[in-house]
Amino acid sequence: MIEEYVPLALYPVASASNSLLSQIGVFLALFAAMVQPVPPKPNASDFANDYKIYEQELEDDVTWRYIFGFTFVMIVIGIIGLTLFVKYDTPKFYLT
Amino acid sequence: MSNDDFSKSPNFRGKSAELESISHRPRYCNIVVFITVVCSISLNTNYISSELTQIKDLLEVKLNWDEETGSRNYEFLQAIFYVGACIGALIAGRIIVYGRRKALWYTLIILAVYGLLTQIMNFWAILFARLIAGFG
Repeated sequence: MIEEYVPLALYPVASASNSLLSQIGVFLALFAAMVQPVPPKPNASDFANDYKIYEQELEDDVTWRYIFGFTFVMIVIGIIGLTLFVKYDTPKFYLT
Repeated sequence: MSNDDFSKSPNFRGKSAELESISHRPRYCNIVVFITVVCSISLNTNYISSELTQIKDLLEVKLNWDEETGSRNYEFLQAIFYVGACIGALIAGRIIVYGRRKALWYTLIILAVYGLLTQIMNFWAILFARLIAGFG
């Protein structure tokens, strides 16, 4: 699919960019753990109480909106790019 | 393929201006467009496939899952994305003949719907959203 959207001369850069951004996507998804409440350690002295506090923190937490909403923000950027820059179809489509 | 064949191609007819425009586009423009549009889809697809791994506890609390059904529902949410991807792969070939630009539009719209649907913290909404995200 990638080679259809860019000239052959740019294919190596485009392919590498695509792989890089795919992995950044996975990284950002895993990074979501950093913005959530920290779970208690299982060997903590008052684990039961700590876990109740943790559950309450999760109940009040709103970061899930940002975690799920990140997709929407990125897609809006993609839609703007598609609307402003991609006026025509790929040359291969026109020629086949 | 000769020049005559190009002009006979059903997609090519009346599109010489478009091809002319593409051929004169600066190189940096192509890579910016590519990263903005195509790579954002790759980024989001991988993000969506991995995002649930970090919010299992949050889903358990928010959706009132008990220990027994929690794991099952969570695995179901993970798996449904790939079910959608299988269905999407079967249908993609039929959609792409209408144009790569249209295919990109459909994908972006589907992923935007995913982003909106998941703002409802409901099991069935997230399930449906992940199914169509996989499809996209």
